[in-house]
Amino acid sequence: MLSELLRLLETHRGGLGLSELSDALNAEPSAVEGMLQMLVQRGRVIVVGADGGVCASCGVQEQCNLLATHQTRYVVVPKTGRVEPGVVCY
Amino acid sequence: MAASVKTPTLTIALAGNPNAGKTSLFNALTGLNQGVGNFPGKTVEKKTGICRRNGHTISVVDLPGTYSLTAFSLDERIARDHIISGEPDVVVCVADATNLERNLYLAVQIREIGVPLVLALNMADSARAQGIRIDTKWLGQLLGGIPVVATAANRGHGIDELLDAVVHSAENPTPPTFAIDYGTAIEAAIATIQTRLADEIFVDSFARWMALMLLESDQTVIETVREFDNGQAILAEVGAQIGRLETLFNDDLPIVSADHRYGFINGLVRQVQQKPVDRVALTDRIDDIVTHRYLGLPLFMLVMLLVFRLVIDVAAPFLNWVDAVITGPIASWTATILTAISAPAWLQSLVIEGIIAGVGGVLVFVPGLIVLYLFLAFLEDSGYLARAAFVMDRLMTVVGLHGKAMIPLILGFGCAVPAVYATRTMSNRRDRILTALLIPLMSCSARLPVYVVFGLAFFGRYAGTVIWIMYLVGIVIAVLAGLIFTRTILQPDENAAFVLELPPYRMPTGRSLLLHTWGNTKEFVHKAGTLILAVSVVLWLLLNLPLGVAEQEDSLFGQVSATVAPVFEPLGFGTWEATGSLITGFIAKELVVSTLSQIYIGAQDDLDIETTTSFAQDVLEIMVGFWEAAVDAARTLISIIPGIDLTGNNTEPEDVALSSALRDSFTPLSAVSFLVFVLLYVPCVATIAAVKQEFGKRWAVTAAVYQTALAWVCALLVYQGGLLLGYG
Repeated sequence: MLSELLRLLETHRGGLGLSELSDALNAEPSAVEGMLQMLVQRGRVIVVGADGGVCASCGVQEQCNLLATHQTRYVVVPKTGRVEPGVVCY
Repeated sequence: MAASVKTPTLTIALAGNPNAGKTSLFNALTGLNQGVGNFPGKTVEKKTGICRRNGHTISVVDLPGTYSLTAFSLDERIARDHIISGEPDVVVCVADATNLERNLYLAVQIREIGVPLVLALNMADSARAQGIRIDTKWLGQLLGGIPVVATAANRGHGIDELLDAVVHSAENPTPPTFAIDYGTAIEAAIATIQTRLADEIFVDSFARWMALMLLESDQTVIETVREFDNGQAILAEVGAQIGRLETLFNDDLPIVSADHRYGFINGLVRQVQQKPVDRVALTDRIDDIVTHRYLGLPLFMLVMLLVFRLVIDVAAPFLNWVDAVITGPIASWTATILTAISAPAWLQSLVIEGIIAGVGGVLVFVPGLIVLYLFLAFLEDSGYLARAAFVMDRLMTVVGLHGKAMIPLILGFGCAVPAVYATRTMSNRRDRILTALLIPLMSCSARLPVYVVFGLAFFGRYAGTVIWIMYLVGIVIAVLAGLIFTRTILQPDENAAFVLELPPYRMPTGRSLLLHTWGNTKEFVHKAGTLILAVSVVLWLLLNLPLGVAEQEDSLFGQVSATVAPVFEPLGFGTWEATGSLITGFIAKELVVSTLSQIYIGAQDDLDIETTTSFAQDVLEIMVGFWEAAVDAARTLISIIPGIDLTGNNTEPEDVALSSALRDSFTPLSAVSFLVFVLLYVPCVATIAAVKQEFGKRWAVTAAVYQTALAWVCALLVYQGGLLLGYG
């Protein structure tokens, strides 16, 4: 499950949302949320959303319809350990 | 580690995810007779209480709510330390029956430790109400033969059964036959380490768990093992095993083992749980309609029409109120203060005709924007906007635009500047340029005041429809422009598929709506207090130079505007006033209204500044005006419901002061032509700067020139076409 989840996120550079992941994994959203929480804890995934660290550097998140339409998404952290700001604007 | 029965007194620990109903169960068990204590050296509280069952006195310890026992947080460490301490005879894991799959992770981890465990499936009543069926007996079997009891702690259901199961487990400790299969390689490593631990750990299940934790690099367990006589040798073996396994799996071992755990739980849930598909089907059924190939787009258009109608109808009374407050009491108070301090005439003119008319002319539209932002926030938070993006995405893809262009284009409805930067997400430079060229055709929120003031001036109750049409025209022109560009200078290489997530529908919270609305409105007001204020001052100066100029038309600004004005003659608005507003509109689109307000309102010789009323009368007037506006807006809102009309015959929204002034200078046809020009002409200077920064000077000039030319041609077609059809 976790590896499948990571593979899914790795193939979607801009990240995926909870419902999309739970649909793809055929698992309960709350269960997937638990997996994501663990991956976030371990630094493998970052949360992109109004409260996410990545968007904090943008400066226009309050006006960002993008965040609103996509809601919270999860982006896998590349091997370099650094997520480029532009990546999350899908 | 094996539990020893200490009847008649038993100790049980309540573990569980946050919000699984653990506290409710604790209270149901103990009858709220809990004591509160601290774990030694920790600040996190635990609750303890006493209950009795079948001659046993049971001490209940409520552990902190945790999702796992990975010991990442203090809560997790406390819970885990208590569970493995040997203090509890039985651990009761409280799981939310409506979220079984997530809650089982903790239960499985506790089960792996090997302590006697009873699973309380709490909120069983809610699960039943949702149509969720769980085979508790089978679940217990799959978890290695533990008792599973359905409870509804808040109603006191299942409490006796749970206590019976607890007593039974304490008297007959569960045989430790539970183990997840982690695969050959990891199992071999576990076995190797387990063998090394055998000298120190005498319970097999606990030794297995410790071996697993060592492989997961659990610091607490590592420190424990370091204290063993052969601790260093064990840790060296562990290090070697970890290195080998991580090379094999090309991943961290905690991830690999958690992967197995989640896989086990997922399979287990499929066996024991039956869930209705209705809820999913409901979302799907709604999506079938709102994202329908043919119905989706018209439905979106209808929703937006409703939004703009509401913006005009609901906000109009407030627009009028703000207008009356600014041109009435605020202007009056300012004039009184300036007179009292013997301010020179030029300063009075600057403040009243320049700043109040210029900035106030824009601030009048704040209520309209608040209502618009509120409705848009509702559409966003409910999940509908994502569907709208999905529908629009299909349309844009059809005309040769990259699917990813949809997001920057949507951003363009708010502000074109972040939208241009958002094109960075597209890998192909040509796609990025094409999208950036089309973004300004989406009506940004700065254009809304122009639409509102002209809509109210010339189209009364249909103002909302006119605004909607302006947004529609922008989209249609963008589609056509996209078609032209993709077939001429910007032919795309390919159209890559783009996955748009459709979030579940949800009822937006009041807090979220207010935060969205406040954030956007704050930006607008901030702009009014900075850029628009500064330009208003400069504009006032230009309208009064050379010194002593009698008519605004003869001022520097008037002369420059009059020189350019003939260009707009064929479009129906070749006046210096309209031209002047378009010139300042290049700086920011809000300035179109601000300039018109300064010219038409600020220059009125008969601008009524009533200074005879008292301050108290003014305040009372403001409050009464607000109340009347609120009542009018409420009546209009309620009258939306078919069959209810609380507006009487007065369905015409009142216009603002500027609207009536505009009626003397524009005809309805020239007003439409002007709106089309404002919609399409050169983007504001900040957008042009963004395009220059992203794509260079050439494309910034291209954007400015092509859009102005496009605006001129479209406005010409509207005006001359209208004249030909007899709408002059």
